[in-house]
Amino acid sequence: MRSDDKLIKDCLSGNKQAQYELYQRFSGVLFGICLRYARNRAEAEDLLQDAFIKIFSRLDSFGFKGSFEGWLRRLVVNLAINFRRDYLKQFFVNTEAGLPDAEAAEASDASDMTFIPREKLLQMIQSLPDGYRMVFNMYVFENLSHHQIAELLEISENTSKTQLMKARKRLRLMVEAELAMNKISVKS
Amino acid sequence: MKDKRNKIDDLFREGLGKLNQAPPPDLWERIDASLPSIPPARKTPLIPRRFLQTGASAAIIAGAFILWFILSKSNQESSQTETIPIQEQASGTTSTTTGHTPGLYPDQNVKIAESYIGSTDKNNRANDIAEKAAKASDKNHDIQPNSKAASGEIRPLSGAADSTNNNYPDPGAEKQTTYQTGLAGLRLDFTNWLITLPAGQIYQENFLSFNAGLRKTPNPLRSKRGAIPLIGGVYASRDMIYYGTGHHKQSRTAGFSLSTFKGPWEFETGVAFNISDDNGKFDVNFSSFDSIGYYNKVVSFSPDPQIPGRVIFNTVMEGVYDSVGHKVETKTANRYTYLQIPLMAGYRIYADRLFTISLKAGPVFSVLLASDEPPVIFSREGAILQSIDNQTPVRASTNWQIAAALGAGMHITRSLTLQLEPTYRSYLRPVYQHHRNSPYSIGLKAGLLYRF
Repeated sequence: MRSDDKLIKDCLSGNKQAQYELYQRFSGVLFGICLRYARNRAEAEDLLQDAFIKIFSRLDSFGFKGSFEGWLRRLVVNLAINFRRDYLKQFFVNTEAGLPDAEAAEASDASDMTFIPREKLLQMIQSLPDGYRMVFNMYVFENLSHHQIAELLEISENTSKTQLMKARKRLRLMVEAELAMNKISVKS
Repeated sequence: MKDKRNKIDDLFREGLGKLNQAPPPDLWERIDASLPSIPPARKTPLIPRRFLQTGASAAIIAGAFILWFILSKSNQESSQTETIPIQEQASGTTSTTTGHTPGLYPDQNVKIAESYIGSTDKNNRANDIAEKAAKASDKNHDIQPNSKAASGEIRPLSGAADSTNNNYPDPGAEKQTTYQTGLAGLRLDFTNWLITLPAGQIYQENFLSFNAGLRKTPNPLRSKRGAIPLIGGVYASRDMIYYGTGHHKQSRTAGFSLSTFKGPWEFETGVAFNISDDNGKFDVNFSSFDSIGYYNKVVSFSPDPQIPGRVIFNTVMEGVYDSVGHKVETKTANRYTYLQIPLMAGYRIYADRLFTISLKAGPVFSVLLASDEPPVIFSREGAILQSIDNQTPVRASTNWQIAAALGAGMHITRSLTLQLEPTYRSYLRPVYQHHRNSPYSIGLKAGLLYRF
């Protein structure tokens, strides 16, 4: 099996086999990111397709410094953000009302959370409105601060916080519904 | 500070943080089909490309210089070894001699050669030589009456013809071998072969196609006294511009030139119109109403008659449609018109009545006159256009190039010259604003020059 560096060099020389190997090696983890950012599976596939086209066209800009997988992840996340950024702007307007209790509301207990399958969790995230999903992903999975999210999405920090709060609230409802459903099934 | 204790965040982070799902099997085929055919990445050469180009140019220049040097040297040698047909005026016999021939009578030969070299007028020279040869012939008669060269014949180098009757040399005749090395030797062999042919035959066989009256005309490069020589011309050229990162496009140029020269130095300017092709790049964002999945809709429920307390839900599958965003990169064909003003200086490295070869170099100033950038026309059934982002880099309005060319000219008549000029240009600045790569171009220019 080729090392990452060797694989990149082979891809740069136009080797189709190496390109396919790179795709095989990283498509799983990158598709996971796409699924989280996309509304559905079809959109995630489109996103992954765009991502790999961009990866192969910009591979020469990877300077062989740091983790290649990290570079790929950043590229896909940026692509996902740009994919919806302009479209999202209209949804971020005037959503700052009701901010004061944003963080406090999160403290409510969800101690009863039991194991929920990944597929269900993914469905829940995908069912969020675009703005909520984008901010939640960036905050939770990319570990970005509200300041960074605000800069990337060209929104205010407060909007970012509000979006996160609403995303959590909606997710909590869905989790609780899922748990209730399980209880019904179990009890019945 | 982030709320690390948030249970919802933790739940999703743990559940989906390392989500790894295989994409559908046909996705690679779609990606592969969308991938541009990537040319093999340029390996860093041992010698940078620019050095190679400079080296090649230097080799051409050096080759041309060597050619010029050899030709001039050969001409010198030929003036020393040229065979002179001597027509004996008094007796009506003709004899042939050579300056280098270690003939039977060296004293006479030296005198003949000296008189020939010293003379400028060919006819006078021939007459002088003829007279001296006649005298020498008389002496020969006195000295060696039994000699075969009694009629003044001095044997030429091996293979020389008997010019009296234009016959080829007698194979049985005594041959004199002269050993020469290198080009001088070749030259001598050629001379020896040449003199075996009668003069009229040589002209008919070898120079008919080039004759066209040119050999009797004055050198077209020789300027008239007191006048500045002016040469006007029209030309067209086709170039390939290399923008870097594998992007290259054609350009076409047509223009007028005005040039003059002083000695071997040439100066050229003019005006030209250039049309360069390039691509416009657009990101087209659109949405289409696509099926995004389904859900199970509960239409009724009832208690399970078999298990008390259990509820049975009756569901139907409902499709879900939504507007799905797409992004497509589109290219258009752009065309840019430039006005170019070259200021070239050149050095003529070779010239005769038919051909000239010159090396030229100099700056070329170009101004963008017009841009033809057609917009993207988007049309897709059932799709709603969201936005079109123009990613086409903006072109700089002016630029400077350094051009180098090897000009070859063939004189058709005294005034008309056919010109062919391979040209290399290096742009001093990028053609796109906010870009770093300066392109270069390679092209071929063809034109017609008229000497006023």
